Amino acid sequence: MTVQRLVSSTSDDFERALLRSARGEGPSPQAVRKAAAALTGAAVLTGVGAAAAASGASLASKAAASGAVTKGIVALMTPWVAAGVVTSGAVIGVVTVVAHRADVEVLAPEVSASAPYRPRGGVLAPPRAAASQPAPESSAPETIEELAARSVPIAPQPSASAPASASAAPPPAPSASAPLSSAPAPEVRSSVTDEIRAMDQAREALASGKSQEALALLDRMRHDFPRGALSLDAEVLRIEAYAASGRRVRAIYLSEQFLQAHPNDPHAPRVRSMLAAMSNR
Amino acid sequence: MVHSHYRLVWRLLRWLGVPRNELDDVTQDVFWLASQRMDQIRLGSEWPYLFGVALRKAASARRAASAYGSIVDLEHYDAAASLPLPDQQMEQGQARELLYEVLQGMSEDSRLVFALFELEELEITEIARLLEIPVGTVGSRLRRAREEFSREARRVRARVAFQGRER
Repeated sequence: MTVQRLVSSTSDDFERALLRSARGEGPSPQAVRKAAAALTGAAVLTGVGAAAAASGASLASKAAASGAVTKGIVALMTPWVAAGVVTSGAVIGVVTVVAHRADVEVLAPEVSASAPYRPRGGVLAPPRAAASQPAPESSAPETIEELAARSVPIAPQPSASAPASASAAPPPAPSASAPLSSAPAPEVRSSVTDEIRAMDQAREALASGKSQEALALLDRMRHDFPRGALSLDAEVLRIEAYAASGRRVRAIYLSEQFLQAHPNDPHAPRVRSMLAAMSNR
Repeated sequence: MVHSHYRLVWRLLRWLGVPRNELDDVTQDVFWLASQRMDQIRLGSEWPYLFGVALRKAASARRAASAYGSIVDLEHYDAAASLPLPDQQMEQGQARELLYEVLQGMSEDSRLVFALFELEELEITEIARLLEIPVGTVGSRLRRAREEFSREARRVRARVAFQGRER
């Protein structure tokens, strides 16, 4: 049975804004770290070793080489950790817990570099250098448009050289991009109702054939609501506006950036279909 | 395992009405209880087990909140009271508070299926397995849940608009 999610099928912007807001909800990294420490303690480290051995992953050699795996500790959680790795590929999840223990020698950077697994909206393992520093939660996320403006393509997925900021705390959807810009964020003006109104105006402009006006409205919207609940909807509309204005290359580029940053977003199928249509012209 | 499931359990408890200030404690309780039953949990069945424990803990937290002056409801009204005018700033966090308010207006069965499908993005078949009910029942509950969600969303939206005019 295939049923579309309401977030992508509803025509009500208010409902969509509410549903989208759920994506940023979650425990703080500190809470997860605390819980993991309380529940598993050093056993987690043993769990990593056991998991690696069980899965036959390259982690085994790294864990052994790092000497971080404690030996002889009763591994309370070991079966679960091993199961998590075998059944759901949650090795990064486990390693993240370890990585957050700044007082323990761990192998997080190597692991996150070799296994770019991102749990759904979850917390990613920061490189060791960042482990003892607070996550850059307040940085304004770089938008697709800004990414597109750069001459050097930048992978939106976090890597060892681009510390991930996708903490469980807000901001939600846009936080999928790494905080690449240190410029101060513009003053946030983010009323949901204002944002919906702005989105409607941009849609109407595009529907009546005024693609340039739509783009200008979307630019203003981005400035006014940099972390808005409809920011991804606005990016999709921007792609449509560029395509409608004849700037096909720009539209294709933005589509690819969108799909790379948000492959599982409810808008992704639509963007893929637009991309296919534009590429086949 | 703790990390990979912690967020899921925490979010589920949140959608099911556990007050925010108790979420970390209740989530830890879920894992602690599960850790006491480790020998009974089959490999690959960790999530269904945690899910069952989380449902019971959520029900118990809701009962406690109700017994001690409806903490959940007070939290709603606090959030509602702090809502700005519609034309003032409203951050994502406040949108989430509205979502939370909408969810709490739904019936328990609807809220659970809605949270699992719409917010956690599980598949219908996964939900059927978790709840041990037929796929068709999940589908009908989801339809009803969406109706309730839309109704509650309209109510909350009207309240926010009204509050905006009052100020």
